Amino acid sequence: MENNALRDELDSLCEVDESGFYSLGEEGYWSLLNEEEYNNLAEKLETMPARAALKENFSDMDDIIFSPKRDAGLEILELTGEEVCIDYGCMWGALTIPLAKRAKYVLAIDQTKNSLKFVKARARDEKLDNVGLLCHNLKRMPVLKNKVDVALVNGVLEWIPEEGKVEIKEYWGKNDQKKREHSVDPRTQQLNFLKIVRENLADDGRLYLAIENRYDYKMFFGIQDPHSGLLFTSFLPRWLADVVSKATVGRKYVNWIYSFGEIDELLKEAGYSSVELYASFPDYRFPECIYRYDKGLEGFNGTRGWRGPDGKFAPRRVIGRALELLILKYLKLKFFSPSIIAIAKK
Amino acid sequence: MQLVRNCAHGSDVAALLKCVRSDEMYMIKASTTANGIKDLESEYAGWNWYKEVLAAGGDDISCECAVRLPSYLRIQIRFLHGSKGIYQEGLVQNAAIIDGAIDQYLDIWPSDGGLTHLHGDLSIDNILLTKNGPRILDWEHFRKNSATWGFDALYLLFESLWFSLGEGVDMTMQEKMLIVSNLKKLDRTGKLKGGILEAPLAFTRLFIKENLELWGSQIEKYPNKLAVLIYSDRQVETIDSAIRGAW
Repeated sequence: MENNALRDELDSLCEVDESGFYSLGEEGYWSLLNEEEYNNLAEKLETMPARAALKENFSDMDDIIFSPKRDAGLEILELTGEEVCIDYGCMWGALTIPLAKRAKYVLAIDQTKNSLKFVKARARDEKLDNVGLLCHNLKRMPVLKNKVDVALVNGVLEWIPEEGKVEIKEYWGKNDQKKREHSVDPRTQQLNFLKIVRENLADDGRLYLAIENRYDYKMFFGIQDPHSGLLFTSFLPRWLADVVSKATVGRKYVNWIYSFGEIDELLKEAGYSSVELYASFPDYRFPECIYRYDKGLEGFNGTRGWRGPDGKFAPRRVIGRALELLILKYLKLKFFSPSIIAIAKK
Repeated sequence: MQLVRNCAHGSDVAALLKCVRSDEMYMIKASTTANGIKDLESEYAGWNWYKEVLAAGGDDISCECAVRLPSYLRIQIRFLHGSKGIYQEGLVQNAAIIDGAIDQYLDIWPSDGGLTHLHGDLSIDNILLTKNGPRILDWEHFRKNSATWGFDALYLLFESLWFSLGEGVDMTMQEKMLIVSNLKKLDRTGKLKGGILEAPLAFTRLFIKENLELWGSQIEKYPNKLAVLIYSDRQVETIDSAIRGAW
């Protein structure tokens, strides 16, 4: 797949803004940081390496963004170095940069301009010249028909139904969510997005989709939904999740995630011809082990230790480890695995 | 494809198991960081040296470079079928494995009077008993001409002993006999440098401490990776003294 075809298409469709990013006029905001924090960080990127700039004020985020564990799931794709790829919703570039090291070209797309600045700085620091940057809202993606060998949708699908600016500290579990209007149901929005992703794939192209499992066993034991900050909403029937969400944050539940079977169904409905499902432990972001779902969890030995990082036992940790072993190792109830990785062919 | 280990023990390497057929499986190891790629280059070199020197030709061994890019390396190692000891069971329970591995070390490890090659983590967990004999695994610390002859064999003995003793100092008679018999095997070759047998555990520990750079950044991130470093000074003195007494 020649990367000129994708670049040619972008050159014809998009303007290039003052930062050197492709643009279609649909800038937005989604970040763990508020705008002021992010603007301050972006300024430092012009004169400092990205990692050093981050460590100055946000050292606790270093691992989330730079850990070499993050991209292990990409190995399932067995890339050859010839692929043209799109990372939809790249944010900090946690997968964009490792993908660019494995592939011919990566187009990183995000609605948040400062995120693209961060990715640009990371590419500069790593001396990578094969990363393009598009500032755009994923819900209004143009069709780049048949141009892409690999599409990455990593921790993004559940955010497609959200509208407006998201600053996670203000958003999570709070009434800020009340102000947002949603006219189309979440599944339809996610389906439409997946259809465009599929259209952009070459005939032998593949989608790498990573997302939390709706029935992650931890959700039944009081762990908050990692997107909305609510309890139990991921696995309740959708109508009941709406009731809980309206009572707590004043609007319907929109951050839909799915079970293994439901993801398979969603992808097939979007037109993907075949889907391979994998269960990722303890989650898809920092995987310790990944199993092919249809082969079961033979050999799974847990990913949580009995002791904390300080070497001490703590009741929560002991209970967590015991539950993990009981449900996943001894009862082998893979349905309750924490995270899903799906590889779907066009 | 199945991810089996990810950045374990301070490394930057992902390890996956690829099953082509039930009789054709591979370990895939990959990294995008400078440290990880360095470890993989060492592993690739180690496996290919090992294949070359095995008397039976090492036909069961295969380590190929699958993809090499400026900032990415993926190697593919043929999966070997066999059985492993349980390293937590220590020295005596794993005696047969240790004897077999040290016999192989005596057969294949070069010595021309100078330095020899380093495996760097010759432990029970990295030895597989196959139908073709013992096979040494995990060559990520391999370095040519970087170790005193006998180091890896000594490391195997004393790492295994650590799992028997823990923080204790008193070896059983069986443990002493096992260590002494293997030290005598090494000594009979005439290749062991003078003085090592006076204090073999002290030598092993000192070699590591003086050459930490051979183990790269992993040792900084995960100092307890090499169990021999955990012995206290008192343990080292007592154990070496007991070995001399049993000689």
